[in-house]
Amino acid sequence: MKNSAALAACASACALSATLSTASAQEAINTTAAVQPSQGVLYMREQLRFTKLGDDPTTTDPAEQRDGWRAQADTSFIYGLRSDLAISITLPFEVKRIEQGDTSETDFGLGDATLLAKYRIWKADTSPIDTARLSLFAGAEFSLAGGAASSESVDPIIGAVLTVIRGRHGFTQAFQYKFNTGNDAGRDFGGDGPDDAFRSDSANLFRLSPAAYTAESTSATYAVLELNYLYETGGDQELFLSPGILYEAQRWALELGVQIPIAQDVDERPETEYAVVAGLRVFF
Amino acid sequence: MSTFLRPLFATVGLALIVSVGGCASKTARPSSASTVANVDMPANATPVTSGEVKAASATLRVNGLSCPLCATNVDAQLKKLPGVLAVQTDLGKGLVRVGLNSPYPTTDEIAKAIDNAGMTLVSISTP
Repeated sequence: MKNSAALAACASACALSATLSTASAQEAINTTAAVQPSQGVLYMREQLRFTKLGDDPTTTDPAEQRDGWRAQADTSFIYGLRSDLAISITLPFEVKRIEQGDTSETDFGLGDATLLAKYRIWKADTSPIDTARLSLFAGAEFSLAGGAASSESVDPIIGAVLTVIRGRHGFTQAFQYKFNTGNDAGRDFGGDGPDDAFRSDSANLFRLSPAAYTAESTSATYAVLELNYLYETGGDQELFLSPGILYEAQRWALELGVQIPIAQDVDERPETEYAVVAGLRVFF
Repeated sequence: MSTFLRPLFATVGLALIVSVGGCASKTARPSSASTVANVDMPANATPVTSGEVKAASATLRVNGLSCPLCATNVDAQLKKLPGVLAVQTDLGKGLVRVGLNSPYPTTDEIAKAIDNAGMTLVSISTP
């Protein structure tokens, strides 16, 4: 699916599968939020992601075209140093299967870890529920163990995110840029290749239940809708619509969603057919 | 089980064990999940703007309590203060009632606790 004009029009919004996780409540499934755990609070997030490859535009030879999938288990630990500053580390484990013609290869192992700091530079709490927050984040993706799942490079990341909660709606817009300092030619999935990667994520969390918080409210269920955009400096770009659901209790939350490509302009690697994401968040 | 799935399941299993242990832990934090209750501002509430909050209870008006997890953050920070015995949060009204005892916390300490939780303290009142 190619639609450069549509992708360019949407370039101001969305991004793919950003598993940055230095946030907590009011955070969508594939989009970080401008919130942090409070001072001294440790929060863990386990996110399982299955990504299926689609068409391979890199060759017309059926014997050379790639197909396959990747299953990832991302374990993130986020700690509130202050109410406005949190650090996080994400440890990914992945199993990847690539089929090419009559051959197939399955790799597994630790992927590149991500270490991030997120700092809130502005906050406006305007009512018991309503709030707006702006945070900056920076860090790096780096190799833990080498191997097939690793880029074997240290790739700096910078970004910014704005979250606005008004009544039952929570809106988030995040931007992220990853500088690729290594040579990852040959990698098969979006954002893992030899190019720098720009992501724009937009998310809306709508509180399905309760309609209004009461004195007895101890949980909430949200409908999640995201637009996730990835642009790689080699020219590849993808735009995903990502619906999901989030159930949040007082010390834990469950998330479930899918990512469906709605526009793709990919020449350097296979397209993404879809992704399914499930996760658990726990506050200690 | 295929050999390449063992490390994956081990990683996920370890993460789940850590998660369950965190949920069950009573010692990692000074409080459990926030106690919810119907909190009303006392009819003759007296604002307290400085110094010690010398009363059996106080009602805090807090902004930014946007979700149940946020209420738990407030609970955790307030219970770190000496003199805070109990915390009840009314998410609907944005009110937090704290049970107090000697040594009473000061308004600055309470404001700092709310700030540490990531919220904004609007007012402190006692009956």
